[in-house]
Formats: sequence, structure tokens, C-alpha cells
Amino acid sequence: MNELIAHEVEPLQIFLIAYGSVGAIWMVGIIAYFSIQAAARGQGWGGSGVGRSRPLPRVRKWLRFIGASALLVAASLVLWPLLAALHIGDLIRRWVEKRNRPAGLVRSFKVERSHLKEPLMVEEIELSEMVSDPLGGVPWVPFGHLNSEWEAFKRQLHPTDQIYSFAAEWQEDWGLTVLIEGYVIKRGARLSPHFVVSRSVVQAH
Amino acid sequence: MTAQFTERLLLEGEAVAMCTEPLSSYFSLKGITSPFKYTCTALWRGYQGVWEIRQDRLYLLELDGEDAEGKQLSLGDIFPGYPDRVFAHWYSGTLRIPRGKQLKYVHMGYGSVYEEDLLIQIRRGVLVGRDVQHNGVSDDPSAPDGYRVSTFTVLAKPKPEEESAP
Repeated sequence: MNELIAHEVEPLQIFLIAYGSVGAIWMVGIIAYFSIQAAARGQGWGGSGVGRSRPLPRVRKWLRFIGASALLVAASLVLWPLLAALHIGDLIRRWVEKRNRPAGLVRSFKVERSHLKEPLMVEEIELSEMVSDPLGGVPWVPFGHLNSEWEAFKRQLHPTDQIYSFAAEWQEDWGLTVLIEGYVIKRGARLSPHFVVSRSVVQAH
Repeated sequence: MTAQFTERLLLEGEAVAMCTEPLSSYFSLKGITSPFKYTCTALWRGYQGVWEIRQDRLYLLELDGEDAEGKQLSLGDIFPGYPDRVFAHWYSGTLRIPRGKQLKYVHMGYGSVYEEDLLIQIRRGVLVGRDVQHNGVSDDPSAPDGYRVSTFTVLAKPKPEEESAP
């Protein structure tokens, strides 16, 4: 009878050892993963305080560290399949979101012919876009605090180029429709580069 | 994402919470990354600004945040030559100022709902309109009055005397 019980228990022991070992490997892996991520952000991940702007006293910090470590070990050894499933699920969700992200982010925004308003001379634009402020909060130059970007835009002008003003409703990431206004260089059939003066949310979906 | 600390707006002599970040438009229009480093889960943008509406114009008066090296950044660092007041002519959009009691707490962004929202429309830094949006009336006497964030995590900077601690 004892031999029979010993025989029945052995596979269970093997299973538990294997289960715990995978959990331990998982724990080491996850600590390494988060350490690398924290290092990449230039931050440690052991010194935070929930809801506090001042550091905790040293004793409480150690107690919290020991408690958190014990919880991490217990959770990793026992609940590692659940933690692994959650982590993998999160990675898949991020990958799917990235893959399905619609084109139309500001950085990939392109002026199209339908966005064009009117051709303008540089002098006309600079006259109409002078920014002044009675309280002196902006330099008295075209486009104010955005003047250096305007100057960089102008440097890209070729002698035969035209500048058009434009206004475009654009679908952005995060479900926003924004109105983007500015100026674009028309070089033959090509509309590029552009200079954005204003971007405002028209509709949040 | 944690509920976020708001910007502060001086409006008609009163400092109020503002659930809009006009400075992010500035960084976006300039095509630059914000130099502010995030140090708190309730402050992903890494800074808090003090704004003012004066003479129907939107101004940025103060900035409080740190760069990646831990250096304190102020208004003059972002707008050289303008350490005290910057006209926010780059901003077009709606400023949201929540008012009254909290109807629903949402621990994400500026998702919490309050009894009403003052919505101030700005066009290239100039006030062009304002509306009040009524969201309901709280029947909970213990509901918090005014904007608040319940919990957040501060990412501590290692200091010399703490280096031996974990």
C-alpha cells in the first residue's frame, strides 16, 4: 500500500518541482525584463512611493521591499501561468494596435490638393502673420515663437516654387479629427514641405 | 494610465484646474520632443504650467519640471528671453475647466466627470468664446468638490544617502 502511495505521489512531486522551476525562471526573466526597461528609461524601479511626493523612511522602505519581494516570489512560483498569459496578451494587444494604427498621424500628415486655399507671396504671409502682444509675451516677428521654423521653411524655397496656404481636416491617432492650417510649398505637382501654424481638435470620437 | 494632475489657470483672479495642455501643441508644431522628463505616473508630461487669461489672451506664466538630467526647467529655458510671460499664440482649441462636485472618478487622463465644465475657446492664443457644459448634479454630500487625483506613484530619484537602500 505504501509503495502504491509512493508511486502515485512521485509524478505529482515531479510536476510540482517542474512547475515551480518554470515559475522561478519566469520570475528571473521578468525581473531582468523590467530592469532593462527601467534602465532604458534612466530610472530604478525599486524606489517609488504610492501617492507620496517625499521618500519613505528607510525602515518602511526595507519592509516594503521585503514584502513586495515575498509577494513577487510567491506569485511567480504559484501564478506564473496566469502572469505569463497576461503579459503575452498585453504584448499581442500592443502589436495588433501598432499594426492596425491608421495612417494620418501628424508626423505623416501630407498636404493634398484639396487642402489648398490660395497662393501667396512670402511678404504677404509675413505681413499677415506678424504676432504682437501688448504685454510683450512674444517677439514681434512673423509667427512669433514659431519664427525659427518659418525661417527654416523659407530656406527650402526654390526660385520657381509657389507657397499656398492650406487647411485640412485630418484623422489622427487616438480617434481625433483635427484641423491643421499652415503653408505649403508647391513645386510642380509636388506639395512639400509644409509649415503648420495651427492644429486644433475638431472632433473627438 | 493614472489620472493626471492638471495645469493651473488664473482666470478672473482665481486659480483653477485646467484639463488642457496647450504647451504640448507648441512642442508638436515645432516638431520637437518635450524636454521634460516624467517623474510621476500622474504627470506623464513631466511638468506643470501656470497659465493666465488676461485681456482675452492666453499666457503661459510658469513652468515647473525637470529635464532628463534632473535639472529644473523654467519658462525661460523653453522660451529664451521670455522668463515671465509668454503669449500662447500657437494654441487653438478648447480649454476645459472642470467645476463643482465630482460626479464620476475615472483613473485615467482627465476622464473624471464634474458637475460642469467651463469651456473656453481659443483661436491662435486669443479668447473667442466660452460655454458652460452641465454634466449633472451630485446628490452625494461626500463627493469631492473640485479636481483631484486619488493615487499616483512618484518615481524616486536615487540620492546619495539612499543608495544603500533597495
